[in-house]
Amino acid sequence: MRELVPFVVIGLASGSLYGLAGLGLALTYRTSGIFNFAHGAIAAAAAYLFFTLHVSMHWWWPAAAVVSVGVFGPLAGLVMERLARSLVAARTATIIVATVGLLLFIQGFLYWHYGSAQRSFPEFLPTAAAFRITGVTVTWAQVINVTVGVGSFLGLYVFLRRTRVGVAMRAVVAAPDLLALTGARPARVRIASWIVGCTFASLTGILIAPTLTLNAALLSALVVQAFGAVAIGLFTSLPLTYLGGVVIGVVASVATKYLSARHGLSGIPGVVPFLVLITMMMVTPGRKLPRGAGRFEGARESGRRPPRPVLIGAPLVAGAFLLAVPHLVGTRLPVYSTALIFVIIFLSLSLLTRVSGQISLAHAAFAGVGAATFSHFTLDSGYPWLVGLVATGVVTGLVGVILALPAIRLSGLYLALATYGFGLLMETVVFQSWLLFGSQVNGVSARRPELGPIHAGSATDYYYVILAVVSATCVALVLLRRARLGRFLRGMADSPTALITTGLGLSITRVIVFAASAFFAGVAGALFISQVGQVSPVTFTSYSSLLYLGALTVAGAFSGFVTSAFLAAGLLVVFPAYLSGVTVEVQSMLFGGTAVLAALVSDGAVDWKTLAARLGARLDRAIARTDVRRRRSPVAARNVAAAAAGAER
Amino acid sequence: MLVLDGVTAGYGTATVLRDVHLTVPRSSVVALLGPNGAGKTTLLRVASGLVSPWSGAVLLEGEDVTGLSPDGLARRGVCHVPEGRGVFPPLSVRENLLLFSPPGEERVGLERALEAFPDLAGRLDQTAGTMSGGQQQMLALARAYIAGGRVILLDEVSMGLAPIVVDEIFAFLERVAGEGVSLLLVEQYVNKALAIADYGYILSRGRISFAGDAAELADEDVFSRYLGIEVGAG
Amino acid sequence: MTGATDAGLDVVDLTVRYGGQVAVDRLGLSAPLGRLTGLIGPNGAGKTSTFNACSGLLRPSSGRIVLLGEDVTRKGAAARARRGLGRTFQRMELFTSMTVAENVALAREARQAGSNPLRQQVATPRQWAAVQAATAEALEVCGITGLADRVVGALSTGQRRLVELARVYAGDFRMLLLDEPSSGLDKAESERFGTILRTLVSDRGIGILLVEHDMELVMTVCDELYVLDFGALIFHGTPAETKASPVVRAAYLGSEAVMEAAGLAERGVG
Repeated sequence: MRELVPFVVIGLASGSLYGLAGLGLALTYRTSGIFNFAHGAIAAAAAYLFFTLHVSMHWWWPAAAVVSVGVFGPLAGLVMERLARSLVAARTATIIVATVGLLLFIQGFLYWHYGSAQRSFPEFLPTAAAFRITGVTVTWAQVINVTVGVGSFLGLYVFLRRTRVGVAMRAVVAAPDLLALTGARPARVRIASWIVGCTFASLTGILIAPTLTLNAALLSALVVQAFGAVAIGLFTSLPLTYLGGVVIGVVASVATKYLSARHGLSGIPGVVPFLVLITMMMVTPGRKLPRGAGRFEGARESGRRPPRPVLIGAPLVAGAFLLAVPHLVGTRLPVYSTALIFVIIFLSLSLLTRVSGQISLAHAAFAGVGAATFSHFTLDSGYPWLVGLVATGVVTGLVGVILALPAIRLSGLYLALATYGFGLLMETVVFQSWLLFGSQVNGVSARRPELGPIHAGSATDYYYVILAVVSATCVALVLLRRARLGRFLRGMADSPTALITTGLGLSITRVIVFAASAFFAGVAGALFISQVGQVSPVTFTSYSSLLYLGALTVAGAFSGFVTSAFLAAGLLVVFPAYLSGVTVEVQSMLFGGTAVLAALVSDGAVDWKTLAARLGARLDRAIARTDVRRRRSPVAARNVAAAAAGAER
Repeated sequence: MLVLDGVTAGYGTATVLRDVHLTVPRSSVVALLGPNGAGKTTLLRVASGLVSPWSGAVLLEGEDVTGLSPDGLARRGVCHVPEGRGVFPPLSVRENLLLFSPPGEERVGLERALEAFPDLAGRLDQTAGTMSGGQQQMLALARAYIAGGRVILLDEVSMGLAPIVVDEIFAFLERVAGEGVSLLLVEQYVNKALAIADYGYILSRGRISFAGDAAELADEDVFSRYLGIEVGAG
Repeated sequence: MTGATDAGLDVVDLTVRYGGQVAVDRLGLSAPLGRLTGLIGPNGAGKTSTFNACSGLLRPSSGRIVLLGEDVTRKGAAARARRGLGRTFQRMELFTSMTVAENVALAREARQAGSNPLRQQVATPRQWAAVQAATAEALEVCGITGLADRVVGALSTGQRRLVELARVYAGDFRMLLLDEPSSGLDKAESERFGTILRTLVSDRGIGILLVEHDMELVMTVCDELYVLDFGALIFHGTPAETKASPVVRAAYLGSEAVMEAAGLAERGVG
């Protein structure tokens, strides 16, 4: 027991901060209905700000802390509230994509501005020993972390019970309309809660940075610990949320002691929060989870189809161009090969998100499974290339069935969270196992096909192989979408209840769509590893999943099912090859920012006609308003006269 | 006091109210009757700002308040007790009363509420959602009494309650009306509502089909309009 | 009651509780095939809860649901639909991004596909022919053939109600639950709706259980009425008997009327 004490101390200190982050997340989610995927990114931004002020500009640390928590936190809260207010009436999927977009934007900005190298973050709190328990030294920094955590929790608890604003925050969760009817301004109450939530996030960010080092991804992923804590509190209870954070901290820390030395299991301590999240999502009955903001119904797809000449002409022109690509682009051919592979990834993602209204934040994991499996099938087991490709698709499809299990039980936000947890689990534990990439840094490798006239060494030959697979995928998915299954998927996005009450076994449909989507993503992963030769697990992270979703959202806002996949691949792969300034960081900002904007202006789908009409209407209203203000009194007088006449009737 | 002038309103593509004229004079009780689905609740929601009318105007003491937010209207004296239970279920009775009182007058509000409904005194720390339907409705009505509203809109406050509680509620409403506040009452207990009302309106399919003195609304007439059928010999 | 040849939907001793509140209280009713049965009552009387329990969207606290002579209490919503129970919704559950024809066709397709993974993906030519025929017939019967290629999201409430009705018609259900199908319709639309319902019942032998607030419609189209109040059955009879019933009057007019009905008040009932 005694040797556990140091791990428990460390766990308590970090767990207290997880709890703090969880409190902020739970509070804002409950009062606004918007679950903030960017909660950790806000914490990261605060930590970087603190770093700039304290380390680069040599400010005294309390001053830096006041600015990065006391000023930045509330400002972030104000921005978030404004964003949340514009999102409440959107579709659930749009809301998720919007805050994921914000995460991409902030993280991209931090990488872009500060560089992606990890920097050590100074422990600004005193590290002297405060006291000793059973021979273990407890530092002042640890004591302060726990005190801040407990103090914030108690402070929030009292605030929510004793002050009018605090009570109103709880009331706005239960009945926002009724709160407005009592004369309180719900918007003001929500602003208060966003300010508290984002301040808590900022506080967590600067306190946890010394133990995590300054790394935007690590800090943004802090949100996962918060997710876990909030899930333990069933998205409702603040005391349980805080306690959940502490438990996650302690369990993860103690697990480090037992598992860090064991090969293959060393990743487990780091995934304790995801395991907690996934477990909570899988065992909690859906009706116990609070319903957030947003509409479930309403598919992204409109029933309209472009005119016939376009329908036939566009693929012909595009096909001719793609056939000619190897003769046009010279040494950039690998870029186009990769882009074509990503077309398949985007098509398969689109099938899930756009056609059937499901959401998946783990799509890159399928591609990763595909790449590793293909390597094992072709190199280790010696399958011929084409057989390996199909077998890989089948295996990945089975993984898709696993991800379909939460989709049967959950929808909207909770499905998104479960898939995000699944993606992180794949990335940190399953990818490292011998089944997939193994523990080698270089990952696994594969060769290109050598069949008949196709020569493995020729980049051009392989380009045409890819083009053939992409064409086949396009045809298959377009047919699938127009077949009965496609109608069921669109129906599922519109009204699952209607499908169930007309007799459809919807669970089966969900399994099919996840399996189909994973199949194609797996095929893309196999093509990818053949193209580049060697793939390591860092190619397909959960951050990649978010980036794919962002890119597809941006492209999908302007174009149809097939076109958007090509457009997204172009944006993600081809675009940076021509503009050297477009790095992953810039793309992250670009996709993230655009995804947020697309969500704000038109619920994820930009239709220029409506947009113009809406802007026009807004302008009209603004003009009318100034008009009314100028002539307010005569209008009112006329209305009174009319009312008097009405009363006499 | 409160005037709806040619209000047309609805949700999405569905028009619920069509060109509705309705007046609640100062210090009077108006009963709004009509079959389910006629648009009574929507009418109250327009009056309290929860729904913005597509056309027409809402006037409060002669001032055009069309399109004002519900909290703005509440601060100007419109008190709407919505359908169902107008309480915050997860909050304690004390916390409910805190939010019901005007800012700065929380203590007075609490005292007045307990004076009106002494039953609540022993339940101040009970979670509102765990009380019986009748007790919750009393709590909701306490708001009408302590919020300092000048026009009170009541939506089916007696729905689903035992007859003895309903009697208590109507006694309370008479008392509130006696203090010079205007009431607009949507009620399924037609006879009870008409007994305390000065004026009556019947709304059917979103239009006002009758407007006049409450006394004019004879029992039989109400019944037939209400059910949309002729009453057979009874 | 059960097992009879015309047995449509039988609700036996149904109780639904939400937390401590009883929404439906030991309700028993029988809606046979080939008849239009009405279920009426004041707001909050438990009608929609009854519907949800019947169609399997809500688990009853106790009691049984018997569909076409078979106890389906433990079956899911989709399984009940495949056994011949269709329904519409007060707030309309439509595929708003699809055309009217697609909406109507999908009900039949969903019944054909059920939980068969292969059948969910493609239809056999015979099935497809059946879907086309059923869709055309349903559009015809409901008088919306002209709207077939319009996207549902762009239709008026009245038109949407007809699409939902056409959808359950095409689904080839033996028993229909219609939840306030006429709300949002104007008088003319509502009358046409009533005529369509009568056609369904008399020509196709379908059984309909109808929840409706429009008394005029209920009184003209229904063969039989059940009246609910506070979740319990307070009256059962023909429309004429219902109109004349003092108990029903009381439920609609309030407690004074109850006393009047019981002869406790001085004023007569009229």
